[in-house]
Amino acid sequence: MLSLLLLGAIVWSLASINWRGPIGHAGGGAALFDFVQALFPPELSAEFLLVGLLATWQTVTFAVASITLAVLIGFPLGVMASGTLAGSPRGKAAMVLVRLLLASLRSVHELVWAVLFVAAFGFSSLTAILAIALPYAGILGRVYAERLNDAPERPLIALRTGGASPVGVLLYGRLPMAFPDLLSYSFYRFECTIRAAAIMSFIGIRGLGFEIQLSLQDLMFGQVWTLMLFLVGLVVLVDLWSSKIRRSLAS
Amino acid sequence: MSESIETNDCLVAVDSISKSYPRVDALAPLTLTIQKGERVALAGPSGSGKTTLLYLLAGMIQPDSGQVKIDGKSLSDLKPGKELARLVAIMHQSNDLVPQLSVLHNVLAGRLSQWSLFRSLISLVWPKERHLAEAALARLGIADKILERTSKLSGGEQQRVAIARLMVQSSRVILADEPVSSLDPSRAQHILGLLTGLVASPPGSSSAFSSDSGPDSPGMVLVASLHSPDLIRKYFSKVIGLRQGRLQFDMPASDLSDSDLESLYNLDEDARQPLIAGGGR
Amino acid sequence: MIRPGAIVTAYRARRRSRRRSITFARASAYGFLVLVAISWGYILLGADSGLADVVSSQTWSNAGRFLRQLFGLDLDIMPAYLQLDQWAEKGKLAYHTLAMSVLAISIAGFGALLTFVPGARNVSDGDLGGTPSRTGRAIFFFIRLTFAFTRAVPELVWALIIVFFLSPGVVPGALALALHNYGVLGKLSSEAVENMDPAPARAIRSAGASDFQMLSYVVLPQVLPQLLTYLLYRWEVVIRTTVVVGFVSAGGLGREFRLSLSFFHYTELALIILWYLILVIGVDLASAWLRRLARFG
Repeated sequence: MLSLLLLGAIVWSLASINWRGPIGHAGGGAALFDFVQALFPPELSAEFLLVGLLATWQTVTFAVASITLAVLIGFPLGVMASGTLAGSPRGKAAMVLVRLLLASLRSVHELVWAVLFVAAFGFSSLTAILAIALPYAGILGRVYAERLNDAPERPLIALRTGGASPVGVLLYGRLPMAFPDLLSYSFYRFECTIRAAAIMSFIGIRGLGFEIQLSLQDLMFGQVWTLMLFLVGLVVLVDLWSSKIRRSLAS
Repeated sequence: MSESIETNDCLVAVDSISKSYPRVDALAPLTLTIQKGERVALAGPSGSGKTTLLYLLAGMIQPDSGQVKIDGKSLSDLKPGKELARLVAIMHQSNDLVPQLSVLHNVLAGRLSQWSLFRSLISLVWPKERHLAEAALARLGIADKILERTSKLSGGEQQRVAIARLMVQSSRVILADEPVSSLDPSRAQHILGLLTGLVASPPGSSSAFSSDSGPDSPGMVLVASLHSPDLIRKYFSKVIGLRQGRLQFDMPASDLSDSDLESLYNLDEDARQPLIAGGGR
Repeated sequence: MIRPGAIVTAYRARRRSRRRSITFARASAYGFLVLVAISWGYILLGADSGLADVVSSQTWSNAGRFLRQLFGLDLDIMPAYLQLDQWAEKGKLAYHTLAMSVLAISIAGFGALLTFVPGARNVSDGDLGGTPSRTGRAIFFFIRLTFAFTRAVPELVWALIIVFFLSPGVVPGALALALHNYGVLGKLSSEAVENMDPAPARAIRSAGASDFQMLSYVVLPQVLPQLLTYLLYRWEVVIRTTVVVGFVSAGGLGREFRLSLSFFHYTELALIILWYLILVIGVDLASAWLRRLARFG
């Protein structure tokens, strides 16, 4: 039943495309050949590697700034959305509202936010950072709320019977127990903000994406490869770092 | 009736409380008193209502009828939190500590009922009333573990951390649900020695715990559920036998004979009828 | 025979490694905080930081004007989102966008399905049967490298490259989305194989199962449901990204989004955003429904 549904979806998506028009450019095949050939070897001049390094650094700064803002916004919202402090009916209502807010924040892609913000506020670094931070706060907030709610019950009951208030239970029970999870998830999302920061080139933010766009315009495919390799290296590095932290927290 | 049982030395007065559950662990109307300084052992087969009685004494659940008074205050009148935590503290069967926190913070969590929101937040970074935790841990012989992560401690050490938390809560009545059920005999002796020691010479009498001790020492009570007659005789002053939610005996622990316990635990199928709350024999 | 001294040495080594691992997490925390400070400093002190804009009243009046234009409050003509034929016109684009997302996730899922088994370390090591071979190792490394590469490059960059070879429309967008998500799905599924419970595999191996039987009785039944769940989750991400990819690949809502923004057709932009939100919410609901169906079906 499910597999039929999936198969049907694939057939429908294939059928709804206009296959009569040309799929490739006239010179598309040749361009593809040029592009692949440019990998052997990519642009490796010291001058250009320096350009790549600077662009990597710029992308890192935007990613770091965005994830910090996202955590700062997402954490309090996540605590509110978890409902662990919501005792009164008014608290419950606030919880529902915050959940809706989180859902709407994450329903729009960061670059869509960015394009809209530029139209509204004008171009600046903070515009881009806010555009990344908002949808990521939406994602982080939801996951934080889930993890806080999933904390083992028994130690919480012990705290409660010891007379701790809901805030006390949160600070001395839920938070420390969920902390390793919260941290490793935030780190995973930091890796995602690197990609998000890179594509902010689309609104004019400098960084790896920006340099890739420039090199593409100049048809310097070798440079494109080099920059992509920088991006891959950066993501792999952060991935390794986060898995090492995860392992050290688990022990 | 409640007038007659509340003497000066009475700390805990249980006045015909009952609690019914669909299947197990119900309690028929039960009346008993516990004097200051007493160490009470609670014996009985599983499902006899020991845990229910402990939870009722802790104010964690409310009785269907009757009331529990501690130091003259009815538990049902107290809001959970500050006041209740001052009167009763309960240690659960598993130690229920937060494994990621340091020993220090797990012990100080016993102070949360007395702390304001701001103070509990600050204390996570700069621990408040650290001397209380230090004194309690020193008394339990694990002062050197104070900064360790709790998950790194052995099971026995974790149990002592749980006791230290009870100590800093400085309540009048200490309840322990099967504190030695998962321990080997020698460790069980050690833990019971520590628990009963709290009542024999309450932490309030040592200098670090002066918050609650008046001119005449307030007197404390320990109620613990356990099964071993030897341990009961050695460490407790009084023993209460429960069977199917009814009081079977209530006597000085020294009078407890092995046959008393045998009849308590004897699996007599005819007697295992479901208890209907409120119904006497 | 184990000497007591050996035990002590091993114990000490473990203590040491534990202490070191705590230092690593702590050092990482401090390192990251330093990185945070430097990054914010770099951005706020750099050109176009936007710090002055936050306090400038000009910024906020501009933002207010943009919002009014989005809702078409100052217009003489009917805003687009109140015109039925506009709804139908943009709806057709939304339909293409949805098709783009389904095509993308199908290609990504199909690609991952073909490659995730040899991309798992325990398969190439022969833990799940088969003989470890140099070719197997080489294939493993190649596949993992492909996953890492396709995953690290964002969809938009893939789209920028692909439009050099393919004519604009739904297909290049779908391919760009598929490439990135192929890396994501492949990595997740291969890791799912690596984290599989080894007990059933060992049991069936000792019962004399062939490699093919191992695959079809142990690996796939455990991992395919997970792959399906990941696929549906990624579909939710893909539908959000279709518009972005459409900015450059010119398929679906993305192209119109950009055009109406550059031609200041703000009420049309509002309508496109509405359709976008309808798609996102619809896909979220559909994905949740399908995941439930998969769990109970």
